[in-house]
Amino acid sequence: MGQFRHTLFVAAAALCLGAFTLDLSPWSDDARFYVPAARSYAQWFADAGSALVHADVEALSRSFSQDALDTAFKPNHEHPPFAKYLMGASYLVFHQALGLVDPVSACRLGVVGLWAMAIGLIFLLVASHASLFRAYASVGFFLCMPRLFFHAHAETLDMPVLAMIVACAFAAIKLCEKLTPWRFAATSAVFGCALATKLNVPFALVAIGLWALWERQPRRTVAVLGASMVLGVLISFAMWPWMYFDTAQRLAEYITFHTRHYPIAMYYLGGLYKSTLPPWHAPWVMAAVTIPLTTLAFAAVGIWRTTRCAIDPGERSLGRLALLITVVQIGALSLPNVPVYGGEKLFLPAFAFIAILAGLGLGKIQEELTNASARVAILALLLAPGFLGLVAYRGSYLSYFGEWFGGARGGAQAGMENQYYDLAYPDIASVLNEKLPNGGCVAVLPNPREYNSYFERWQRLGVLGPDINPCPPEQARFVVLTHERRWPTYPELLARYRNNTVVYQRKIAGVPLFSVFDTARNRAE
Amino acid sequence: MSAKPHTFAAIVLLFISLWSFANSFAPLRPLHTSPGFEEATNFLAPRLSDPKSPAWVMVWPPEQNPSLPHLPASLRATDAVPMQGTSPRPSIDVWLLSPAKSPAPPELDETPQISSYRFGDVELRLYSTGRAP
Repeated sequence: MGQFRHTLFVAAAALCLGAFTLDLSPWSDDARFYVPAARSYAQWFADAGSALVHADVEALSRSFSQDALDTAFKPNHEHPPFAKYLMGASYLVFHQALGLVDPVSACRLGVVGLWAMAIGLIFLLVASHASLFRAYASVGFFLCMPRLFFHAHAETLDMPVLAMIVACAFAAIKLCEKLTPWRFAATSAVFGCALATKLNVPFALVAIGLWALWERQPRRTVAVLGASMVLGVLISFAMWPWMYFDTAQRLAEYITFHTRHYPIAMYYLGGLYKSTLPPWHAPWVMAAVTIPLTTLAFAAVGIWRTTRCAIDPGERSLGRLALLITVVQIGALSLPNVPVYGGEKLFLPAFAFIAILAGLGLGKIQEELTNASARVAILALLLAPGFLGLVAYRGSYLSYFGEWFGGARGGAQAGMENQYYDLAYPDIASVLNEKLPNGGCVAVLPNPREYNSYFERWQRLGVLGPDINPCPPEQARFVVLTHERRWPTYPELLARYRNNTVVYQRKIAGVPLFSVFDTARNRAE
Repeated sequence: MSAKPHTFAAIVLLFISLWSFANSFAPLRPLHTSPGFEEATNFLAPRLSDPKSPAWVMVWPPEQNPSLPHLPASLRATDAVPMQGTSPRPSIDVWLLSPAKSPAPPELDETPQISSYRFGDVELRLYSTGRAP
């Protein structure tokens, strides 16, 4: 089986795995931004496409009017649209046309597609620069990072931007290997789509530029790479119709939104950061403590091989690129005044390159083990800690901490947040259905705001009883308390409700994630 | 294995990893079943009976949360340090109730420890942001 067949097999297997495990990741609070945006953008494309197919010039020009573009692209205009186009396409196909899944799951399938693409590209990159064994290792390390597995399904921009940065790395390497007009065009298109995904990408392009210089690429190659980046910027602009009108003002709004992002609380090493930013080391520490030990150790070996050992130039080149992208993605969040929140999500692309480095780090073991079965056995063993993490933390992947850090218990004891994203755990709905068969009032604390929209969505899908409604805690029959220390009111809320009977508690390794309290039943009764 | 030092090192690493993983899920002894828990709560209850007292009882670490309902109902008990920004709230006392020799939460690293008591396998430590040690 050739490299491309292996790649197709790996990507297809990942696609199936992702599609059949959608329910393992609870909805996130980002769904209320990205799902309506994806739906709106997709509808615009459907309308414009239909006008084009029917050669209806009037309808087509209406689609491109400022009114139509503003209406369609206003939702979530704080972020560029590419990932939402893909979520929208999967929404149109899997929900609207085929009716196979609900709207959120349909959007998630678009993200899963990008995740599978990232896996295929990681495989191809490592297979072509190192070996098939290490390509499987890199993909295995990537798959067996529990937090990443959550993001593979989440209806957000973080996995899409990871996938697009992997695509940028792939395209840049291919362009530098051989300068052809076709490769130039394809690389520019990839850069354009990536830039139209999320703000992490310009930093990745900086890393790619540094890599080209580190690799001492010929001046002409560097110039062509730079030109493809410039063309990429233009392509990304063309892909974002929101920017077609009032361009200067909207561009300024976009920049201001990200440079003065509204504060989001983060709990880190026992400190509650919101108005003040977490210390510079937060992203580095968060990256390290959310990776299984074997992956982390072999990534370190991969860095050592790449920077200190005499190895094949192709492998070294890939290792250098992976190292630079990792450092720049995480390092960008260490800069002064850059907001950091949401665990690992803001530097998610780094994890793909850490997996590549970990795969490259198996070089010596590959040399020592010439027998194929022995290689398969050692790889399976080295992936076991991550795989066990996937199994043990299923449904609670954002609570995962590396086993070397003590897992969820270690994270909680070190003062790290044990979850974020105001997750819509499906067991909240099932326990409320069981406890309130005739309906009733429920308060979700400490942050009720996001859960109101979950209740509505659950009810639309028939997952939650129609008469179970959110309400203020004073009127609530049941209180759902998420155990999140990043909310300053949390200690008081727990003190207030702890005397009520806990009718359900979700926990991981004993660490509580949420509790459902019966306000009518005091434990003393 | 001596001819395969990297493979040997990988296997050692794997054992450390699997041992740590198992350890991170090892069964816990709930604090309320530990010897000394009742004495500790009996010690606390009269001291904190005033509802206006600025004192909190904190069950620690967080996986000991199921012991909270076993504390007297009159106590203001929780499993997290009440915070104001990056520091514990000013002018509060925190009675940390934990298994003996458990490290204190990082939130209290800078907070003076006033006293410490041992009841069987249970430790009770008083931290105060409002007074000197």
